[in-house]
Amino acid sequence: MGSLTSLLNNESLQAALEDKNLQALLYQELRIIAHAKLSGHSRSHELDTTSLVHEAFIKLNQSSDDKQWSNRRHFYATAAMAMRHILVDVARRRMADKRLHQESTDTVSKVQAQDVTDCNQVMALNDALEQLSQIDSDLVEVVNLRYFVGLNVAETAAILDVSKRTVDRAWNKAKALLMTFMRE
Amino acid sequence: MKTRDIAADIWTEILSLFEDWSVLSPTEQQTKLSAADLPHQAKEVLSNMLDAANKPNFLDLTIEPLVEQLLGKESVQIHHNPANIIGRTFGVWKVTSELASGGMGQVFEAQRADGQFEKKVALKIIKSGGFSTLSKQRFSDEMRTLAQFEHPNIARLIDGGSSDDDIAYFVMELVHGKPITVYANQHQLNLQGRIELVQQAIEAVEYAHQNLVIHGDIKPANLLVNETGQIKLVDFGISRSLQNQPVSSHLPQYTPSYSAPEQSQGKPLSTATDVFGLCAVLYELCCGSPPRDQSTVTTQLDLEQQLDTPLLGVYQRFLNNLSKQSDPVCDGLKAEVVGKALAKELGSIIDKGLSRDVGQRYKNTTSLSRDLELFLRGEVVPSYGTSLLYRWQKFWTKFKIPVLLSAGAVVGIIGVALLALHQARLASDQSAKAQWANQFLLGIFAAADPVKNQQEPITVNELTGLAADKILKDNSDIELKIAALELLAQIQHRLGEIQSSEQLNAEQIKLLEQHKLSSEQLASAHIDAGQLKLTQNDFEQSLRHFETAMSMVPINQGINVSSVKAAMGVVDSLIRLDKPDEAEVVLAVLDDHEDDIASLENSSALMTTLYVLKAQHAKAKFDYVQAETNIFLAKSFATNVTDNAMLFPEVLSIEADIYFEQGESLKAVNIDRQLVAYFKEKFGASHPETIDSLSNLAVSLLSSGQISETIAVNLEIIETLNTAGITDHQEAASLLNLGIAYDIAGDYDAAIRNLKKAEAMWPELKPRYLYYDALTFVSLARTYLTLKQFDLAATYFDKSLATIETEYGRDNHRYAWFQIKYTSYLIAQGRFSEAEEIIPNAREKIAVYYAEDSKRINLVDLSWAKLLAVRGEQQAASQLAAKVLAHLDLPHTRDRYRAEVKLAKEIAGR
Repeated sequence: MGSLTSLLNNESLQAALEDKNLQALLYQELRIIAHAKLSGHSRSHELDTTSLVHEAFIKLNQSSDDKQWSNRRHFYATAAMAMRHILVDVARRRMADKRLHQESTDTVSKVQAQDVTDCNQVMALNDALEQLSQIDSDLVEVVNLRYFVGLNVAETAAILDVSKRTVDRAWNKAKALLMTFMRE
Repeated sequence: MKTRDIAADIWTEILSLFEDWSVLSPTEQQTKLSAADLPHQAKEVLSNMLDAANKPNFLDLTIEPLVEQLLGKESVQIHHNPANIIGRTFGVWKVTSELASGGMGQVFEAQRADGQFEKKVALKIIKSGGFSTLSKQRFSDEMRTLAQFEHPNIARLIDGGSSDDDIAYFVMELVHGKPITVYANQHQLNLQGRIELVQQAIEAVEYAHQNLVIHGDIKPANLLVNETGQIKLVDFGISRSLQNQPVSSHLPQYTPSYSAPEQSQGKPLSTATDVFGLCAVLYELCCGSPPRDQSTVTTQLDLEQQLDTPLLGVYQRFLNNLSKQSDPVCDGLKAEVVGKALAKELGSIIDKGLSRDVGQRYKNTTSLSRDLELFLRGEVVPSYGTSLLYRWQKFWTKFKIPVLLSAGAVVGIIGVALLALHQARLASDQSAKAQWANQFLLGIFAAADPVKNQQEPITVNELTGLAADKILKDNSDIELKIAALELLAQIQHRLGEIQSSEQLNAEQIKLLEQHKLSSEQLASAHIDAGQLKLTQNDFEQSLRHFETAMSMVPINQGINVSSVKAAMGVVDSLIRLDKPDEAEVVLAVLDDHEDDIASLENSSALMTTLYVLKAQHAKAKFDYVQAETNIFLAKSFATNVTDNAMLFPEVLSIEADIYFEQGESLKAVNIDRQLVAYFKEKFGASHPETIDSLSNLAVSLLSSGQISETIAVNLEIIETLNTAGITDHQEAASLLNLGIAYDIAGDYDAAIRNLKKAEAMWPELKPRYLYYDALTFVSLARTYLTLKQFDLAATYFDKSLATIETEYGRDNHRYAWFQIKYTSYLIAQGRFSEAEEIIPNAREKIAVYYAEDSKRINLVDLSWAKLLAVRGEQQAASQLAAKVLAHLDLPHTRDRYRAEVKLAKEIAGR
């Protein structure tokens, strides 16, 4: 996962992320892949979709090495992490813009107010997840899959190869901890 | 960050304890927590975690709206952006253009591809957020639901299906219309026109409810009005059947500006959810803006905040909007007409419909529609002006049973009930009916089992409402139908649902009259009707019903439960109508048959009532000794009654009234203490009845001048409410009483502190009773006056007078009373001629309601005496003050009116 983080911190990727279309594209593709892999009728395309996400990364960072997806779990963990990073990155950038912008004007429109709350929420959640990873990184993985990819308990359980009950318990613990951290 | 200091092994323990304890109740969690051997920080984290686990959480919601906000719409709508849909064919329908994007899907305009007919239709496809199984399920549910609907105010479903590439769609009647708010402004509709539009919308929603469907997203954009002025309800996008609410029904697929709190909390929806939506639309139609500002509540993290933010009352919002612009708030509305309506009945209807607590809201559209109808006809609206705060406004039956049922169980119960009804029909005799009734009740309480049904609760009220609907529509055995109606009416009555109970009762009487069945049954239905009217203080009508019953089962032709109850009802109504002599005639007949009554079934309750009536009668004739004897006997009978926990306190409170009237507030205090003890034992410390009895005690204590006790009781009320997490009128009322008590005790800082709290609280509460705001303002003004802070006193006197004028108008005796209080300020400021003008006029208005020897009239006279004194007319002043003292300087009043008595003594020169 470390390699992905460095990938996302890469300068050319940062530049690419400035382009709104590319952000949306990457996110969209990750979603399509994640969900298509799970729905029954796209099983035959598994290889294609895997290479699709691969391609998405390549598109954004020509210099990155060829990555091999060792297993399903690895694939999902990476996709989920990528989705999370995209959101956090956009939020961070937007807040920075806002701060610059706010110095020149003193009125905040409804849309902006809404946006600030959204951005703050994403960033606060990300910080809380960082804190959570110090305590139990398995819990972070469950949150990434359940919240950022939008998988249900059964789907998450299948990917992590554990029982639904285990996922449920982890999910409850993670939620309670995250809310606690976010309130601090 | 403190949590960073927690060691790894402690974390392991925290997580494991959390897992074990998260299944426990909050109280058990607290007990375990305080006993646990953990570092302080760990305890705090664990406590916060458990707390968070009990609350709704944005992580349970879908991330999609957030992604849409941050990355744009295209990132979520993967499969089709409009460009890919326009021109495509779905089944026989060809899409021509995009119309709108609703909460759950995109809407396009389409027409028949084969040109079979020209008609244009609306084609809706599901929003493609990955096509989860849940969305698909919902989509097809929606189709099935809509297909059943046939109503002029609901857009019709024409066709539906799914395309080769798995895009689900359906085809609806294309409505060429404008959102209701836009239409109303463009056509400059007046208030009546606007309400009539909402009435049409209510009919559509009501129809859906009858089919067990909740719309769940009522808003102007979903209420379209076509050229002929006809409402079309569209977009049942998130409608879910009452029978089948999915577990994760809290996906944010509603429109925050108009959505009910239970929706954002992820709680189960009910018919009251749509009542909220309808009232939110009416709110906007009347004051120009929706109840909630969109910017404040759209993100998931705002969920919790939103729960804590009360809605601004419609009248206040109207005033705010009015002050912001010189133009009318809405085109076609006259500000003074709307303002007047919103300040009173219409405002209270809308605010009731927007209550945050589902229990305070209209339960269904029928009751909302009825109140609006009454308002349009200019009649008295029941929801307006009912206050449960004080003893004299207390209803006989307001004990609500807070039982929750699962929605699934409701259907089950109605099923069981109908099956039993069918079986009973075959036998069709009394025992079968009794059996049916038993099964019905058993069904209710089995379903109310909290262990079995934790999800999707629905109240007994709603359940019986649904059952009543089914039974009314059932055209079978008329006797059974009547029996069922009677039973349901009684259940509703016990639940405090007076209006719906009355409706059922009226249906029952209608059927009995139509089919000319036994007169005894009809008599008993009229007795029920009479009792319902009694609880609403409508004694003319209760008398009419009881007399009708009495004519069917005359007491002198046979003593049985019905004949006795009918006669007692007549006596009760006559006494309350202040006709003790007429009551005495019937009471004498009952008295003659006392032995026969004592031998009837359930005689203890009947004998209690008989002696309560005798006591009331004696009281009405001012024979207090007799009244006390009778109430003593009533109490002894009441102790034998086991199946009605409210009878004994009822008798006690009548006893308290008897003492109260004799001016023996000390004895009243004593009884109020007994009542408090009784309720605490029966129902617990935070039960509404207990709180109510405490507040009665506080009032009695205050009137009897026991100031420090008053303060203690009010503090107890506030603490109990705070511990139980309840914020209601009672708390504000206690703060107000506390402020008044501290003022009398001379602790002005505490008085102002508490009054300020009350002042801040009233506007947050629903329904609004402006009288209490005014009372709080005037109390603050008086305290400031005592402290010689004249500017603040003036501000608050002005506020109090303005508020009381808004509520009652200038001619009301309450306004006059507040003016009298104001004169003490005028006199202090040396503005004598103004005071001189006010006092005689105000006295005249007050004297219509208060006797010459009443405390209030004497307080008015005291203000006149004071004016005389400052003008140097010492002799007249001292004479008048002496008269005032004769009425105020009495054992049971002098402590309550310490400052006034002192002032009167000074003027009188004593």
